[in-house]
Amino acid sequence: MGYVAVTGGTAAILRADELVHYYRVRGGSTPLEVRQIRDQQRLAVDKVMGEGSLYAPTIAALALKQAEGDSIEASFILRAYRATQPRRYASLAIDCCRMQVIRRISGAFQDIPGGQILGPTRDYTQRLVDFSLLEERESIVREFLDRARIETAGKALPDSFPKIVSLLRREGLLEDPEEGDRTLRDITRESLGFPYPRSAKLQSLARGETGAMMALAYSSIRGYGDIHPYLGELRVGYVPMYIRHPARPEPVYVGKVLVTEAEIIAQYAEGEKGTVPKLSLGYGLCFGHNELKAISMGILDRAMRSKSACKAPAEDEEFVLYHIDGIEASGFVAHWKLPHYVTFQSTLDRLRRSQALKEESKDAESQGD
Amino acid sequence: MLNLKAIERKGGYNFAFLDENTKREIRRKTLKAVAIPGYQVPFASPELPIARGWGTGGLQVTMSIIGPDDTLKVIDQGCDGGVNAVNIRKLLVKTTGVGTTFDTAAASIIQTRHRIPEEPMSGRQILVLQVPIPEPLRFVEASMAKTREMHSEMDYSRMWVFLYENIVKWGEITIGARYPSLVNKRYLIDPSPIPRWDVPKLHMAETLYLFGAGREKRIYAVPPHTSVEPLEFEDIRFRVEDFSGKACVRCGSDHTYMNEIYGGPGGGKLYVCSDSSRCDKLRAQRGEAKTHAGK
Amino acid sequence: MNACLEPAFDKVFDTQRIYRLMLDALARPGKLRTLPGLDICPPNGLNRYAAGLGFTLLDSETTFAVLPEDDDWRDYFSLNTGVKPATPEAAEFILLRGGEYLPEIARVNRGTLLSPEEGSTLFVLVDAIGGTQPGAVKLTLAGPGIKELAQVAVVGLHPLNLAAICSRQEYPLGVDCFFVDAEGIMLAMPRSATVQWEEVPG
Repeated sequence: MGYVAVTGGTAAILRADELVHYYRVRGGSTPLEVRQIRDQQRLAVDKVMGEGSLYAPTIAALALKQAEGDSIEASFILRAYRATQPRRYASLAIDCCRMQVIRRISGAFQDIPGGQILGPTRDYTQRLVDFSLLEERESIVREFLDRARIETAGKALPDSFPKIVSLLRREGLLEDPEEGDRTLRDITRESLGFPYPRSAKLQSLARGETGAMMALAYSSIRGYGDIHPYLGELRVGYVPMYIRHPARPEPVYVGKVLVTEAEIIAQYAEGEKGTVPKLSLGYGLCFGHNELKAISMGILDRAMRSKSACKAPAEDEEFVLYHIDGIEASGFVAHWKLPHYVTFQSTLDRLRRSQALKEESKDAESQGD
Repeated sequence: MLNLKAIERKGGYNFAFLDENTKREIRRKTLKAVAIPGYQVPFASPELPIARGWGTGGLQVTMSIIGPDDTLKVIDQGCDGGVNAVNIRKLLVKTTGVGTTFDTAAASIIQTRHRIPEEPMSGRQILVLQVPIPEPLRFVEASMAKTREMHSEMDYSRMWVFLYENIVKWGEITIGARYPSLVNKRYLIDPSPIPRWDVPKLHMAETLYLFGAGREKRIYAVPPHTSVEPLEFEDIRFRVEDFSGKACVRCGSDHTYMNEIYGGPGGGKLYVCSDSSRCDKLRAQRGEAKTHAGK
Repeated sequence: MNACLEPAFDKVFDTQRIYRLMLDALARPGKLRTLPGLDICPPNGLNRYAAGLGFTLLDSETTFAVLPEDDDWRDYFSLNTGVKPATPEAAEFILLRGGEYLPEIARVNRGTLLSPEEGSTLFVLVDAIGGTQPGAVKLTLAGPGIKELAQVAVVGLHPLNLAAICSRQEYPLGVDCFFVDAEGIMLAMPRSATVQWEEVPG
């Protein structure tokens, strides 16, 4: 039996594909180079890598181009690509103390060992439309780059900074890391029941959708929850990655990745009977430069460990982890666009039956009068 | 003889898209699903190039069972020509090269959304159902951790109360599709959003039914010759949709599941079969050959 | 290690064919299916049909035991599939010689009420399925997948092993069995089946 041609549906899908392509390029401007997106839409690329859970800047930039800038669509393309890639090695745990930071701040302490490093941030930039960018030319960019290179020369940052939380821990102010399941579970290779082991929780958060995580974290700090967080430390920078290779005794360096790390210090924990109260920690780490996501992740990580009897949404692990995945959520919300004729027909059948029964009982009542 | 090596990597991807590790995991879980009829087996469910909620669970199951000798049929709402059916068929054909058919009787694997074909299926066939929400207890409990406990204890009391309250309020059980049904007198299932019309086809059937929920990461099964009983009360019985006095405008059938459409003169209502293969066969018998699937 | 690699086994298409036969057998307990002859040479009397079942389902994400213990068999599967060895209590898959009385069967994992699917899968080697020689065990199966009753005789299955499997099936807890004979005939007996048996008198 050969392939049976399908008429209507196939033609419509092909036409839709063509129209998508048309709408992307119909303006007639110079096609975007993937490199331009990778370099100049840096934060969009980082977001897509995080939510697509694959560190691949060029492919993420390509996905953004293909998706006309829709970050969820681009993350989905990247995630589906990731699912086809073989996994040859698992990296050793990265050490963020060895991060080459480009930015590092603390909201909890006025000064920190190594100093606050503002780095590339818009936090203190007034959000005014910059009309000068309308006329940005290559010559202007080149001139700026030459000047900037001179100004930053000789100001290289140290290779590593001490962690603020380790100082707190040394002083006995911060709780020790939780015991429990320390094995590394892979949420893409096995299905887990709740409560998740911590490694699985952090994996789910690390590939969550920034906006969804921000909304839940916001609900917690507004009052649907009680963790009262401080930003102990926020770091953005490059960390070296290593793997173990059977042919080499030493770990093998395979490259570096840009990550954002947030350590959230929260209200001291309700100490067990007889124990000293201590501050507790929420941890956030994601690919690329994405501060809102890392902070939201740190807040949610801590909120989900709440022992409160009446849990707010952000404290309910199942609620949070089932709803922050952008690829799952967008797919299901969008699936209502699919035909539901059959089920709707079934609903109509029930509605007519209910209406008929109401009419009957009304008639019966009026006859009884 | 087919040249297996030549079709092994269709379009740069493995045969049937998934890598062999992923297929093996789905296969192991599917076997457990068959051994424990109606029990929802969790599985890892990797991403596919088709969106979550658009049939990924059904696709994963189909991709894990399909071989080069299979003949595939894909339907959505009972129809072979719907855009989603076309898209899923395209992906499967592109990555496996299998032959396809619209004829229910000629298929060895049928992947479906929202319908079980009207024509009786045989023991040589497998029906793969796409499932949006695998949990029948979702009507009464949102947490999967809690519903898992309820299934383990066969504690379906809240479901019975829900149905009872339904009757008190509306005089009738108001669940249209997705009608909760008890499999092998042990596990309550969501039979996927098939209409009630199709639920009796699950009971003591000849065919193996596999249910795949990709986004929710669950696989379950109804083997052949297995009891599937829709929940009902002594005095309020389970009832399928009522099409009495209606007939399909295309084939004239008055005993199939139909969709009503506002297409008659002056916006009047018409009824048309949802199962396009069955409808076309009846028309062919009457000598009208135009296909319904492609509309 | 005596184990050798089996490059002739086709990981895509041989596994697919074998899996479909397993799925059909499990969905219809009592129905006999014939496994394809594979161009492989397992060690030490291990039959190649049973090896094919292992190649189809085992990989580095699963655990495996052999009863009675047999290092050659274990190493053969580890080398070819990457499966991790485990104790009979913990193993997800167990390959066993059905003719020898194996008290360990009483301790294999049957799953929990929350996760019954964790009950292990047994590949049981027997001499012949479908014969009625003296000493054979005649099984009568009922339950899901079976129209009324299914009857089949198995030669080379120790009745105490069968008793150990059946007496501890407490549905939905239990184990799922695939019996394979020297000719590649396969029979499945999932935990959902109710089983009665008698020995064919000698």
